[in-house]
Amino acid sequence: MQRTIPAKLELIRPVLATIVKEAKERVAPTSLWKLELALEEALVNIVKHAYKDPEGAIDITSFSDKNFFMVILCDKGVAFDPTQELSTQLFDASFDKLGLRLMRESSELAYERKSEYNFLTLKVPLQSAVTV
Amino acid sequence: VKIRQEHFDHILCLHVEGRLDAAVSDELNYHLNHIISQGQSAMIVECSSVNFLSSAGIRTFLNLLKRIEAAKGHVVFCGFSEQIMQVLSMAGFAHYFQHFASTQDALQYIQNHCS
Repeated sequence: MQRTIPAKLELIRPVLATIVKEAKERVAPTSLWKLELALEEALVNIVKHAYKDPEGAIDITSFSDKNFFMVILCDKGVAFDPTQELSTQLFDASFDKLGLRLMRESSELAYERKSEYNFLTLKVPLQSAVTV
Repeated sequence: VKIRQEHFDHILCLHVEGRLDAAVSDELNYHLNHIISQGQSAMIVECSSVNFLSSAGIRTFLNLLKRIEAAKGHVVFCGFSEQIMQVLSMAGFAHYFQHFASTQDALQYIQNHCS
């Protein structure tokens, strides 16, 4: 499923609810709340830090392959790689270390910067894949 | 987020219900700061109906601890779900919060430590 939302705090809850509903049948309960937590932290991070322009948007794509449920977040904000240690990055002090720690602990992350866009992929194992 | 207040003499028990996330943390912070500024120094935060906790919620709890300690008071927590315990552990803050399984246990502790 693909949707685009304005980068606004009040829009995070409804988006999370939709994705959780979509993932519910495919993901074990422990992975489900971890995915929800990682997404909350990632989205809050984008809303608070990515854009100086208040009109910034976030593209959110969710899907699954054979083993994982995945969500890709794409924004056109300042380049920021949450998989890297904070000390190597710009704007160190303003970023939310606690949120980043939870994001990293609760899901598998992959980051790419392509042209002017940040692509952050969050993934958790599918229910069937957990026991393999 | 919903908060219900219950008084046991000078001890205030806050029953918190719902999601503790970035959407409500400012409002909750404001509410808690208001309670403390009125001189409340013995508190129980009952969380058995909290179904989601994010870093914003954790920071709200840390802020509460800081304010209460500065006021030489006590705050304890009860009713954390397995999920909330895990989030606090992941964050590295599980040991910051004095936690009891039930409101009764929390009340007994705080009555003995806050006369």
